[in-house]
Amino acid sequence: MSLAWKEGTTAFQDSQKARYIQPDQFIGSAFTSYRVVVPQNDSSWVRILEERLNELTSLPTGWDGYRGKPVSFQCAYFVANMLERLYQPNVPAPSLVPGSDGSLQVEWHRNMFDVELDVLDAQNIVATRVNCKTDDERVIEIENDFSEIVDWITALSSKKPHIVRT
Amino acid sequence: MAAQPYDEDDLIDVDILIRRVNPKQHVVFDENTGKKRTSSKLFSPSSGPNDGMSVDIQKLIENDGVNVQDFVSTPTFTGSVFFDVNSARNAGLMVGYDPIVGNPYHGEVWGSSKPNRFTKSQKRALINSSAWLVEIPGVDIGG
Repeated sequence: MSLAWKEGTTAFQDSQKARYIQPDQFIGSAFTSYRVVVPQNDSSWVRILEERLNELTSLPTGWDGYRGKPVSFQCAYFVANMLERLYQPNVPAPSLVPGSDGSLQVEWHRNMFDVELDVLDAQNIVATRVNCKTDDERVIEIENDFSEIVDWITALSSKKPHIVRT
Repeated sequence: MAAQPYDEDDLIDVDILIRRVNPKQHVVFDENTGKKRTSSKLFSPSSGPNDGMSVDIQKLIENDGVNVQDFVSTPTFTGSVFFDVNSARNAGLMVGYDPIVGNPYHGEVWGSSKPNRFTKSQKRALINSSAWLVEIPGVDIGG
C-alpha cells in the first residue's frame, strides 16, 4: 500500500505546527481518516471529545443517507475553542451531533434542562434552552458573547446551586 | 444544490415523508428521561440559502415498485421515521420534489419565512407527528 499526501488546510496548530493532512490518492486501502489535533488545553471536555471531533470531521459524504457532509474543520475548531472557554468542572461533556451541512450541535440534557448550541458556522450559533419542568424556552443567536450561556451551563450542574444573574 | 423552495401541489396531505436516522450520529442520551432519543438536529434543515431538510417521498418509491423499507435502509443499519405532508404544512413548512443523483424520490421540507431555518415549535411539530418506519431499538423519537 502506498499513499500520496498533500497538505491541506491547517485546522489546529500545536507546538509542532501539526497540520490537517488529507490523502490525495491511495492504493490498496479503503481506510481514510482525518485527524484533528487540539493543542494545549486544560479542559477535560475537549480531551474527552477530541476523538469524537476527529470522527465528525471524517464522516463520509452521505453519512445521513442523503447528501450529508462531514463537519467542517472551521466548525470543529470553533466548537473546541468554545468548549474550552465554557468548561465547568461539575458539568459532564456534551453530546455532539452533526448537521447535514457540516454544522455541529452541542447539547446537554440534564438537571431538567435541555441546552442546545447549534453551531452553524464559526460565530454563528443558535442557542436554545428549554426548562423541562415549565416548558419555558429561550432562543438566542450568538456571535461571540457567551455570557448567558455560561449561566445556562452552570444550571446544568447538579452540585452547584443555580445562581441567577441580576 | 437544492431546488428552489416551493410547495408541491401533487403532494397531498396524506402523503408520507420519510426522514432517515443515522443511529451513530443522530441519537443522544437524555439524562432527564434516562433514555436514548433522537436529537433535534435530526429535524433541522441545512443552512444553505435554498436548503431544507431532506426526505424521501414514499409514494414516488412505491410508484416505481421499489420496497420502501429496503430503499431507505440503504446503506444498512440506517433507521428512519415518517410523518405526513399535512403535519409539515400545518407547522408552516413547504414540501417539494428535489430529485438528486442516486435518489429520484428525494424531496425537501423548507421553512416558509426562511427556507433553511425551522423554529423550535416547527421541529417539535415534526417530532410529535413522527413515528418509526425502521425503528432503532431502545431509541425514542425526540428532540
